[in-house]
Amino acid sequence: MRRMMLLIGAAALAATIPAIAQDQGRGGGRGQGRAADAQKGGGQGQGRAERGRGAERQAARAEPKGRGKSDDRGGAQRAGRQDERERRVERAIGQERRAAAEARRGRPDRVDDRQLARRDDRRDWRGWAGRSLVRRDRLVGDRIDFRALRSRGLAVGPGGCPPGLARQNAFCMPPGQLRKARFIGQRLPLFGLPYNVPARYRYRFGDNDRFIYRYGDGIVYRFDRGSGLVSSVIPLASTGLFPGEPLPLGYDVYNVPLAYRSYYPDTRDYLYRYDSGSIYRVNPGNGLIDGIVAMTTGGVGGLGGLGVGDPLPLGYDAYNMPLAYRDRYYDRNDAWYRYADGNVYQVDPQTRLIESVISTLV
Amino acid sequence: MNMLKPLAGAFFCLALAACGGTAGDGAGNSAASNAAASGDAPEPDRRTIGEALAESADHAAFLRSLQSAGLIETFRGAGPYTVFAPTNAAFDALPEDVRARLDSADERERLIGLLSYHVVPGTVTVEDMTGAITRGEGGRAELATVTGTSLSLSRDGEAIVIEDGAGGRARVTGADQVHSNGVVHSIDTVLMPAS
Repeated sequence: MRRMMLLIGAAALAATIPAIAQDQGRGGGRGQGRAADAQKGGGQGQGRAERGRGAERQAARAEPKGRGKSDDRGGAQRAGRQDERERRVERAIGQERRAAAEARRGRPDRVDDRQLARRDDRRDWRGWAGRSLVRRDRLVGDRIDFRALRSRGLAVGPGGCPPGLARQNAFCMPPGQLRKARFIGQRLPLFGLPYNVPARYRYRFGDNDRFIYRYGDGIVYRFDRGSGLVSSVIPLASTGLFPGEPLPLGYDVYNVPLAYRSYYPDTRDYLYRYDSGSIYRVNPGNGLIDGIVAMTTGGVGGLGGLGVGDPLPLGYDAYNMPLAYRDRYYDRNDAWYRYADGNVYQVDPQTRLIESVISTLV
Repeated sequence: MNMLKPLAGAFFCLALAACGGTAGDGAGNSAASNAAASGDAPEPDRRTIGEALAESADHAAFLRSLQSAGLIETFRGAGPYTVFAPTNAAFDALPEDVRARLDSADERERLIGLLSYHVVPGTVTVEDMTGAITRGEGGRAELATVTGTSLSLSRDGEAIVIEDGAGGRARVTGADQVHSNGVVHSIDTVLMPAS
């Protein structure tokens, strides 16, 4: 029975467009299992999550028989163009994979349990594999050779998990993050919808020619424009960062607001990341967030995010100037002064509009 | 923590002595309503809010919560912040289940939100709050916290009363404890945001 499934799977491979393996049946998006993609090679540069252990298991779980085109994306033309491109690429890779799979059948390889998905975004990998880029000669086909990495002192940890993360599951992720990250490498209907990121996060998540961002249920999903697959998941509801937890996906880039950068630069001892109005400190050695070092108002609709001509928001009735500046900036009949996030805001008391902004941070 | 109590007691007295004064930047004296130790010129308090809370016996529960939430570094940093610090009695007055929930690791997100609800950007003294209340309609003023939601201020005689998002009320009992990176006002009830 299994051999038959394997054969069918192999046939499906040739005919099917590139797919992403399902995770244990719970995949959030509507991906397609690629039956004969036995040892789930690695990311394809398209952020695909590949899991599973043996050819047999893969075949059993897959939904084969050429589910021709993905029918869950808006835009038939877009789907068509991508299918073409993907099909071509996949065919080339598929052959190499099949050969490798044959060779490895029967020898489940623990290396492949890892989530090799996000290779399209080298920054993600830098987080896991130290600061150096993974070089081409370290790749086996399109997979990253973890044995080679480990021998060079990168990607260390039991089972190859990044430092600081015990192998709790096949993805070396804390359960909270796993819940959100399982969409990586999947297709989601969100991809076809118009831009819908909430206004206050638009400064962070703007569509560009590589990625588009769509929002759903407190989470921002980053899609690779070319493949239409999710390449990163950034939770928004409350914050995505918690002291005591590892720095999640999507926060690998230094993003501290400009006004604070001289106070909180990334150093060898500490990294700093901004989210929803707070600046978090990260221990780069173990990748854990160890605390909040500053709270600003800008990220939550407060005064700190505003500029000349904006109205003074609710809640700034009281004079709140730091003592050191009170000699210079005091309320008068024709001007009020309010402080937020390192800036002094001069406000017209009648119109309550901000007339000027003076920075106090060097 | 236990062995710090006698030490904390000593520092507490010192803190009271320093509290009648200013942060030493030449600003006018604050409308302090807490007890000043004596008629001597008070020393400016050069401690950060974080250091002061750590040494304050009456805020041990608040400090523990800040540490548990990973917020303590914030109050050792630049700021400035205005912190409404619930006393130990305020924490004791919380219902048992609420307190237990706050202590558990799963609720850390909720704890961070709750503690942030006690923090206002900038330096707001009692005098500033009074000014805003007087100017405001119906004797009320809004004070925005760093979470984006506001506290509602009013007066009850001499004291400042804070109304939170859940309809609870807290009284400022120890006002204008000025430190190097902001000011602390002790309050008698834990503020709860609207959930």
